[in-house]
Amino acid sequence: MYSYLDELEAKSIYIIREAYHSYRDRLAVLVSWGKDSTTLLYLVRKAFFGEVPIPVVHIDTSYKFREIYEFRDKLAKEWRLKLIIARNEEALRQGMNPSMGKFECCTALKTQALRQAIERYGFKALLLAIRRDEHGIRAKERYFSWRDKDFKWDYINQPPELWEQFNQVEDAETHMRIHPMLHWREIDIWRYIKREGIPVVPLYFSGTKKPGYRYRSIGCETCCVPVQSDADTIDKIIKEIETTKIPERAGRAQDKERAYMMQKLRALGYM
Amino acid sequence: MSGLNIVIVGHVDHGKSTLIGRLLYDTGSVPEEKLKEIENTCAMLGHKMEFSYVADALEEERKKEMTIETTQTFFKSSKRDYTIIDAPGHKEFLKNMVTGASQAEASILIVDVTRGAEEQTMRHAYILKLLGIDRVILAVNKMDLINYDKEKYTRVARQCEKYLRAIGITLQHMIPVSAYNGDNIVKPSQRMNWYKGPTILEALDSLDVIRMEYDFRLPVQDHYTINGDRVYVGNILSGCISRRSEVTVYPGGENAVVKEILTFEGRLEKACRPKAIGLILSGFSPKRGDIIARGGRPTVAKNVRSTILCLIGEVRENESYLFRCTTQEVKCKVRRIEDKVDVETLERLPSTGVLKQAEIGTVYIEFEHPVVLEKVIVLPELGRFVLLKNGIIVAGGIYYG
Repeated sequence: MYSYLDELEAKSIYIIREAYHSYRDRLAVLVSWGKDSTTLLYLVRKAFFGEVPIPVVHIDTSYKFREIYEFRDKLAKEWRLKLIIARNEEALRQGMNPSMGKFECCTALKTQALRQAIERYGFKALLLAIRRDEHGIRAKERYFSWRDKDFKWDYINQPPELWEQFNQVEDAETHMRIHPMLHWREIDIWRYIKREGIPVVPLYFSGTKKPGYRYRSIGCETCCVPVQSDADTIDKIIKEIETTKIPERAGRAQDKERAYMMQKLRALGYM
Repeated sequence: MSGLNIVIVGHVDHGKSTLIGRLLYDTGSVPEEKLKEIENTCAMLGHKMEFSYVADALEEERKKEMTIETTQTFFKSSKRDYTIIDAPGHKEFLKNMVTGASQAEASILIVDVTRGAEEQTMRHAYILKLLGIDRVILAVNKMDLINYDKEKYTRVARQCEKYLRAIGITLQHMIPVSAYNGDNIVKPSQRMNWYKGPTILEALDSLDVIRMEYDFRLPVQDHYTINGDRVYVGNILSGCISRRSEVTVYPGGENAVVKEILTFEGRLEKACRPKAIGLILSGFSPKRGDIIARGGRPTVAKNVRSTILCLIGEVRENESYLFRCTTQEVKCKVRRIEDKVDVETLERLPSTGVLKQAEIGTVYIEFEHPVVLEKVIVLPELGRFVLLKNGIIVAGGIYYG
């Protein structure tokens, strides 16, 4: 008997291979080195029998945790990744930081940095590890979801998507977002990490930064708040998520500075 | 710990999003932070607590008080995990309803007791049948508006049951509810002592979804070169395959032998559904879209009669489309549109040569090259297909055989 995790895995690998079939060397995978994108990278390795044949793009705001940079460099070596580090140097030189407004900071250092990287390297499609259960706006996504020539997401006019058949528009002015893990939930990720022995950034474990606290969702050090937790092993994290009432992204500032902020960020091309 | 995907369907304003909100709220699945966000938004807009906001996250949805895009929310009972798919009720958002419903294994059909079954109630029910979702619970909603009256409930429930039977759906349960007040959603109602059946949650927990076993089928997705070997990759749709097995590649019917089964974990002796694998073959070199099979013969067809549902724009007689089913991709022509279904009367209307958005009809399709199909009840993945125009899916189709 197979477990439901095998179903999730098989579907993700199928989508990754569909993406690679359609875009080949114009495809890249976008990672933040959190548990989801690390799992996505691992699934890419599975899809291609241990190799990662596409570039791995890290949008670096320069405000990430030290632990993330260390984890990135270690994994890049171990998994032989073709790593591209993308930063909006112009905005950083001008001193962009979260105190200038979280919406503005995320847009400049993430959305714009991504836009620059796509232009520089000529990518037509990106694999991203977003999941429906993370946020109400991400729940509205499709597996294949394009951004228009202004980099925008037209969430009101998305075409139908069914039976693992995906829309593909060969319009030169768009890029495709592909979400192979849209159907995974937070609990599935942790159960899968446990089963497969996938490495994760130590920030997820209680006590790494502060006794009695752990990060449940990680991004920039400036905009992440840890949650109270004694979970210092994967088993304890799984147990905690099975019972908690606190949402995964509770500690993420960009979701809540203003009403509908995530929707507005994503409409502009945020991840 | 396997979960169940449930889609909530029904006519606009019959209470789909409110039912979801209530289900999540009463199972304690709405995080405190989300509740606060909803309360704040409701206060900002100047109205009382709105359960539908749990599912309707877009600003446009809350302002216009309607669901536009399909969404998913999550909760668990003592028995299992659930993913709840909310599907918009407006006819113009049917493509989103189908996108949502195509991921479901069971459904709650909701009907407003003061209105009875309306056009989208019946269209949605008909589409559930097309999508192969035959585990359906009927929720007769807004019982609070008729003072929890048994007779009015029975009339509406019977009307719906009769319609569903006519399209081939046997209801698993019929439940009088008030999503607004929480009657019979998670807690048994104290206001309907005449009703002895399960609550919505109990009914959901009682559903069983079984997948039929079938012969080995693997649509070829791509091929990679690994250590000098040509490796054909794809997901096993059904059955199992062992090393040294003889297989047949369709539509051509060529024979081959499985030399090796490759996975990330290493070489395997045997692999089964749903695994994504790689195969090294001898005897024949398939290409993307070929179906590697063992056991009974699939249908290989140059033309087919099928039921289709138009999702966007229109489907016209004698127009060319791109047919896609699993990894098969073949140019085709809709040679004839033979009839059109009136979803309310279930009459088959004479064809006008065109199926418009949200319309369902029988079509005769001719393919440029033969395609491989299986009856949808035997192997759903090879029994359903989409038609594309300019890279966009415009219709979904079912092969009944």
